Amino acid sequence: MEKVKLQRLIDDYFENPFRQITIPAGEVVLKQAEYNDRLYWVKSGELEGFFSSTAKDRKTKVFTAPAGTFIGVHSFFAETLEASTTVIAKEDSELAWIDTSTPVVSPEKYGPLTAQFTPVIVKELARRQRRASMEAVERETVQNKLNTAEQMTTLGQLAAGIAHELNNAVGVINSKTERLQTVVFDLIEECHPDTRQFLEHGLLYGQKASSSEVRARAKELMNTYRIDRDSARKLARAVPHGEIDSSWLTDIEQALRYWEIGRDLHDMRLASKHSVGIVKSVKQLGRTDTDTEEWLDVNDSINKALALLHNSLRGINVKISPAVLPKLKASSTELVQIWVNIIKNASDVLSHTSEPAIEISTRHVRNMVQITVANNGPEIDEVTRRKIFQPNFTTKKGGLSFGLGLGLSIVQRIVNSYGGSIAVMSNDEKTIFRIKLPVPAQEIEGTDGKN
Amino acid sequence: MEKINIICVDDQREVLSAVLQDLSPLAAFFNIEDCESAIEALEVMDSLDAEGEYIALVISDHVMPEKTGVEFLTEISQERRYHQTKKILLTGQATHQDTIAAINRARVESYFEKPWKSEELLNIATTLITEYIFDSGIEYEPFQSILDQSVVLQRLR
Repeated sequence: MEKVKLQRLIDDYFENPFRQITIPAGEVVLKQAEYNDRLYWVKSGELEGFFSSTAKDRKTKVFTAPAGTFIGVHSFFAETLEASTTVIAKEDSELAWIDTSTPVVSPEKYGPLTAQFTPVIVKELARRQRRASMEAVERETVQNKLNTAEQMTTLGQLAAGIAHELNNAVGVINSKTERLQTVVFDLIEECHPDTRQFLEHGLLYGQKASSSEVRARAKELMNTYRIDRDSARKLARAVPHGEIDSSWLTDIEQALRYWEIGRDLHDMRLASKHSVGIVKSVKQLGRTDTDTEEWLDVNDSINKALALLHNSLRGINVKISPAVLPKLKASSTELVQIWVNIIKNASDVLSHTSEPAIEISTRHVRNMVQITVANNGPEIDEVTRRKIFQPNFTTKKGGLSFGLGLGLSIVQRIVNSYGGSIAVMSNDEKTIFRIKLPVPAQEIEGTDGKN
Repeated sequence: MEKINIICVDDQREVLSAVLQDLSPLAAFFNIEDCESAIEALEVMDSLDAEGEYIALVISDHVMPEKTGVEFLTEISQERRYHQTKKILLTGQATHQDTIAAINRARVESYFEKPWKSEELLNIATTLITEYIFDSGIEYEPFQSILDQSVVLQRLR
């Protein structure tokens, strides 16, 4: 019915060859706020309407008018005779028009011109209404995004500020620990050279055995060497495996005392290193730390990360299949940070998995180095997967370790900064993180040359 | 002389060894067991209890995988055999809610924030063990030199 009415209007008003023009692409049909007494119908082609609130303002596109639509509805029927937007042809277009002097066709049958054009007017009204609504929705979405971004920036700056302050304190602890270690060593060398080996043992290895392993081993040692429970337990901490060298047993109390000093220094050094690492990663949130870049092998950086995570990976079967890789120009700290984050996450989710395993493999595919880290932990559902790289998203709600939800967002930022990509795939058997880092062009030539 | 135990629980080995060191003056009189998880601690406590030994004090971290410190201490407080056992929560990351649960449900006697002061931890531990000994009706004389004298005097009055 409406279609018939519309067709009638077009037949009656817009088929007059004297009231038709062809407009080449780019030409202005109407200018905002300038005189217009025509109602146009787009016969073919496409036009665009632009609006600017002040003369100097950038023009904002507000509508497109494809073939079959009307232009100038407002200025024509509101009788302002003033164009509300600037209309420019997007492609070569044919327009037909009527103006205020065009005679009304069969008013006795169809009523006055406004009545005949009511559907067109209402349609135009509805279109403008819809545009306004959509704009409101869009504005709100943008505003929300802005607010979140602003919050994150503030949080990042705040964190960076705290990190900076902490950095000084941690720095002192770090260097003084190193110093103390040398001083203690020298002192022992002077006064008790015979105990040096115990101190060194503690310093090098720390305490590797878990409390339950110690309990079992202590029982064994008590029986084998006929020593009291307390000494046996301490000895089990110091020497968790194998035969006990007789030097330990001559003066067991003294040996253990020096071993403990060594272990404590070991722990202090480890803890201060850990703090330096955390501080550094938080600092990177606030701004990009310019780190020295060097040519390095990705496999080495993975091994460094595994060494750092030694403690968290207890009881997990870690398998690495490295390929021969071209060297990348990158910051070692940043690469290590990527692996530490991903592998640490994997070890965290494996806490309830029987026979937990992490598989790490590297490959050289065309101009990319591809690293995959797979674990056999629980599936990451799709909702989580979609949000996984967002800052301040975390599943570690209990506050375990460092559940700020920043780890993977930092990882993504680092990977992107190298022009690489990161993706996550997950099903009930496996969860895989795949990172691709591009190999610079000259390096590919370099390897070719060598071959 | 009765066999009295102190149980220390923390999933971080370095922290655990620091706690042990702080409590070392007590080691001559009491057996100190270190455990890296709440589950391990429950097993150890169960076997000690089965051998007729006493568990005077449990010092536990809160944020640990599998079972949190508050959950663990709540469980202990509900068991008849550990009815008299004193409990200390030693944590750096408990929220306000966790703290409320620790007091209301786990009924902890003491709450320490990390980092803690060695001397303070040792003092509180000594006081709590002394109270435990009197609460359980254990002969206190063999332990007298290590006990908190103010508690001893108060109890003997």
